[in-house]
Amino acid sequence: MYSVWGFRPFGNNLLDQPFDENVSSANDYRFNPIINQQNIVRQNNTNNLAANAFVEYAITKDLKLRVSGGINTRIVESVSFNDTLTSSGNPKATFNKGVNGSVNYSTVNSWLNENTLTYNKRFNKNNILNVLAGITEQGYHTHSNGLSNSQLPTQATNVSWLSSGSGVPTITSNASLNTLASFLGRANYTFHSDYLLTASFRADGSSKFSPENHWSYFPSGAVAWKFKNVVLKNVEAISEGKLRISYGLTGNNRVSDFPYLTQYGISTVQQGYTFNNVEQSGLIPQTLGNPNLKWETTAQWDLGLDMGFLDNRINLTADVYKKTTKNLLLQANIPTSYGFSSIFKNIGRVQNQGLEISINTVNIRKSDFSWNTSFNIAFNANKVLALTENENSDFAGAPYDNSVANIPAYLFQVGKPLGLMYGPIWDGVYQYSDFDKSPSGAYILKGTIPTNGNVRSTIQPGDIKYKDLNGDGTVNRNDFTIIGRGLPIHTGGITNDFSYKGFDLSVFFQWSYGNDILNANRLVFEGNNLGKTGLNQYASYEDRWTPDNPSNTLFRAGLGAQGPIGNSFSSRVVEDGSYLRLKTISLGYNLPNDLIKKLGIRNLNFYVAAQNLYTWTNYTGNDPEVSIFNSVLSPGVDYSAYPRARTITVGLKASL
Amino acid sequence: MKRIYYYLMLLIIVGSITSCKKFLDTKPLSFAAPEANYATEAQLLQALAGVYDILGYQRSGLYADNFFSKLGATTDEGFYARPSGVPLCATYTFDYTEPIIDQTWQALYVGIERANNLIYYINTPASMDPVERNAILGEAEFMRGYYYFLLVSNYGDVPMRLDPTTITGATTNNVPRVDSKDVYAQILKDMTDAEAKCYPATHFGYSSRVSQTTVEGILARVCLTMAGYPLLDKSKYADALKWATKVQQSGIHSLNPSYSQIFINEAQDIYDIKEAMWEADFNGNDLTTTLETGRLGNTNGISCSNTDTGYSYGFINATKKLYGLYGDGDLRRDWAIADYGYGGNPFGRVNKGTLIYDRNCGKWRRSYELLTPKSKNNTGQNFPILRYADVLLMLAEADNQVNNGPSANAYEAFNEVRRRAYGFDVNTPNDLCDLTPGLSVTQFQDSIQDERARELCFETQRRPDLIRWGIWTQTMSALANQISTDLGANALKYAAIPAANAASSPKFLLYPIPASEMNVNKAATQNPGY
Repeated sequence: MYSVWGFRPFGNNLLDQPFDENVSSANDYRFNPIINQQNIVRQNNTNNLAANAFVEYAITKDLKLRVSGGINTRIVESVSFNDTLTSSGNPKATFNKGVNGSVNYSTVNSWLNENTLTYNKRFNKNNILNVLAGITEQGYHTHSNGLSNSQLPTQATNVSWLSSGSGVPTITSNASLNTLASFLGRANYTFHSDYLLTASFRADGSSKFSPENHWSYFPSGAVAWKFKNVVLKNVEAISEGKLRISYGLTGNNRVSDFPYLTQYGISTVQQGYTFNNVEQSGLIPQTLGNPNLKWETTAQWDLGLDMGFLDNRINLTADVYKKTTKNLLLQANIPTSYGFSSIFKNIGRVQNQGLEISINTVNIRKSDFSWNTSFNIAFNANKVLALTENENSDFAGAPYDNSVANIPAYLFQVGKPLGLMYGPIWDGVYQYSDFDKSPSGAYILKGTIPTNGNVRSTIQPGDIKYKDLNGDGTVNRNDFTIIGRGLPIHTGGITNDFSYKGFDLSVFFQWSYGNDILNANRLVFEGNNLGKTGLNQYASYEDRWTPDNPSNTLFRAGLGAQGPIGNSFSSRVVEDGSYLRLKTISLGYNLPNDLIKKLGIRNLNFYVAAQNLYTWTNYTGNDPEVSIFNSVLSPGVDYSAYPRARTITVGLKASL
Repeated sequence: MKRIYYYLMLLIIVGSITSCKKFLDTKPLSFAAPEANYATEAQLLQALAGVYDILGYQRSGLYADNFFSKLGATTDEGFYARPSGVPLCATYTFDYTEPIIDQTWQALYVGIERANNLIYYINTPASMDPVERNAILGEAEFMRGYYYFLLVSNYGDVPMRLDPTTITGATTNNVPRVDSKDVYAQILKDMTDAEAKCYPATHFGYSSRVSQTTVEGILARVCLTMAGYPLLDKSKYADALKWATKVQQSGIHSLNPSYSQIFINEAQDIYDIKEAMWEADFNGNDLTTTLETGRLGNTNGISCSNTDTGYSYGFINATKKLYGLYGDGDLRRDWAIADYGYGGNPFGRVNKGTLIYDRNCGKWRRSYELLTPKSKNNTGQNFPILRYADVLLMLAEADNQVNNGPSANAYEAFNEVRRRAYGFDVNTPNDLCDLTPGLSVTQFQDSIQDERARELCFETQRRPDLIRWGIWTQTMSALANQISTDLGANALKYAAIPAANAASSPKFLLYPIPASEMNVNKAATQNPGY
């Protein structure tokens, strides 16, 4: 999107030109996006093989053994090729690679073996016992090999030319594996069909931790009571009632395969040295292992209520939960005097609690017309209970560009929720009235007005202005504060299904409320914060401050006008990301049975479905569902994201 | 029959349980156990390259860029020639979150960790030439000492680790700082050890690895630093003199007859071990994937927008004070301070006027680079960390202090530097440039202080020199006044601001302990004022 918005479609018929001659290409990646798309090759060929089998043997009437196994092999060949008419392969590209390409093969083999024994015993009408015990083992093996080359001859047309390149070929190779073994047991006991008891226990062993910490144990228990038949027997309106309570531990081993070991590597890129004008690759400790690493565990309480009314025409399910995750497997900062900046550690505690309600109603049920509605809403509030040793708060960046990677954009603080946006509060634009005019005609910022971080004497009318929160007369990182929340207060959806004779119609809305979005596009395209030459701007930029248009919304054009912290997300680019979206409409028609029977078809169905049809939102960007980093640590950043596609599907389904 | 099934089942379960332990004990497929990485002589050399790599950390750290164009930009020799967008470390408006100060700290400790690993595993190769093993060990020890020297002289008391973290583990986040005196003692120990182990400079014939005389020269620098502020351990002048004299008496080193040729050689990847004793070595033009380039000549060179000539931003300009230090006929002046820029139509050299402040640092000129095509932003130019001229001036300075007045040897060392500067034979006394005889201790010291600016300007020596002489604050304050007077309403008048800032607080004699350390290390105290 950067290329699309940033390209200036005027002048010498630029739409047909690969690039804008007036733009310095050495640190600017803009290239005609259409020509680039037409010529770039990105191909993924995937072969997937999956096989599963099982045997079951009844040892006695009540005792059953089941052994199952499955394997899955996935081979992906990724090909990329950039000829002279692409942003990477053109002769003016930053790294001057010339025509270039790469091929990479990666293979993932995984397998799973499960052995379970089940014991089902119905002692009498009121006492039923169901016990399961099992052992499972699984393995996951990856390897990949690839090579790339540059400076291919200009007549090269595909990656088969890689061997003709005069660049330095790079070879990549990697392989790893992990295994997981579990012992599990579960017992269900049903008493009088109204009381249900479940207890389970599992022991999980993961190869990702050191031998001393392979295993962890996760018990859980649940009780359910169908109270309808006990206390509400005579209440007609209530057709079902069930109360559930459960508590359990679950584990997480989502780390790399060998985080407990220190890894040394030989790096040929930027990590070696030159002896006697000959480059010598360097051997360096790359990552520091942590032999104390162990399973992350989550303890969860859940209290649930299931109710049915009017013959289950109305169903209500409500759950309140509280879960506390501790020993989170995260890269934790350590004092950099160790020679490493972070290490995988079990750190911190996070609490999530919330309420989830779903209601399904059958509004109309006639022989040839029915209307069902289902509605769900979820509230979740989370809180950081602890961070790594000695840390009370930490920051995460939003590295939409390399140059801003170290600027704090998110705050984590003990006692506060995750995903808090962090930056200065934008206070408009310095106006003429903020300045004293010197006899020589220069504008000098009044002493009572705080600077934006630039040297006072260099600030001019039209420069950006921020709130000086600590009152020290200048705005810098000490004036950063919480400027938005990345996570919503509640989300939900509502679906209405109608069917009339052979037709069925389904309409689905979804919403999110209370979350903000950091719109980095507005930093770049409303003020050009990265200072690129000849970068096209949004139409809104026309309203920037000029001597004739003393706007208070956008600072003037020109170097220095955005101040030294112009790259930070300020409250200017934090926007409300709440939305209501008509997510899906689908309409189907089943041909009448008597008609199609003659054709020897059991079922014939036409349908048309559309997605992302309309969105109600105040967000000015393309898509309020955006989150380019896809991480709970930095939610809701929009920069150069591909817009969400509006998809229309037309189909025909037949069963014979 | 039924019984058989039971047995079979039992067998499966028991088999599973016993094999589980083995099943979970996976071994990495694409990296080896630590010792296997240090098992041969060739691997030790790779590890040594990893230790030296920090000198050009990620193409921006230390001598790749930050030392000369950012951290060392603001002195009485030069200034950062931009009104805005200046790194905070160059404007002296930083706090402990300043990213370049932080990156430098991290890079130095990464280097120390690499050196600690190499020292730890030095005896892993079962059979290798003991001299070679010893030399590699010596270089690793020296580099650990050098990185600690850069830490302690810039940050004061610092955490000190002599065992690899890969062995000890990062067990606690509370790592106290160690008293500067103890850090210096360890530096002297490491470097003295190394001095006995390293190869003589003649063994290499190039300046990328540290030789015995380089160790001696840097030991002289460390000792002079210890003798000055803040340690003020005057006994170290004698040691400085001892080490500098060893370099002089080795007979290996001498001055290049041409001052400019030193830097032309560096632009052309030509080694001159006689003068350029130790260089941060950079190589290539980024057309290979190794990216062992730096930015010498690009950020601090003669501003030029033409890539064929050699693109440069010209971030560093000279002060009029530096310009004024040179006498008539001093050939160093117009090389260190470029008297021309680039521009015009047709594109070419444009001579500068009399303003002086608009002149770029001209020591490393990209127009002399031989490797083409030239990369826009990165160069293969080598940075001189230790030159023989520096050793001679250190010898003269230490001698003057030890003998309470300059000896003949001190005069001779000083005058060798001056004769070369004027283009004369270094060994022939010459009234046109030789220093006035019979100077007092103070007069000679003053001459040394000016001569070091003339000879070593822009070589990252000035800030540490001014600090150890105890004159940083007064020098920068006077400079700010001079710039304001010189420039009046000229657009370059902003140059006075960083100088005034630098003089505004004694806290700037040390950098703050950076955020990456302070945020998690609660046992570390912050330097005063930050």
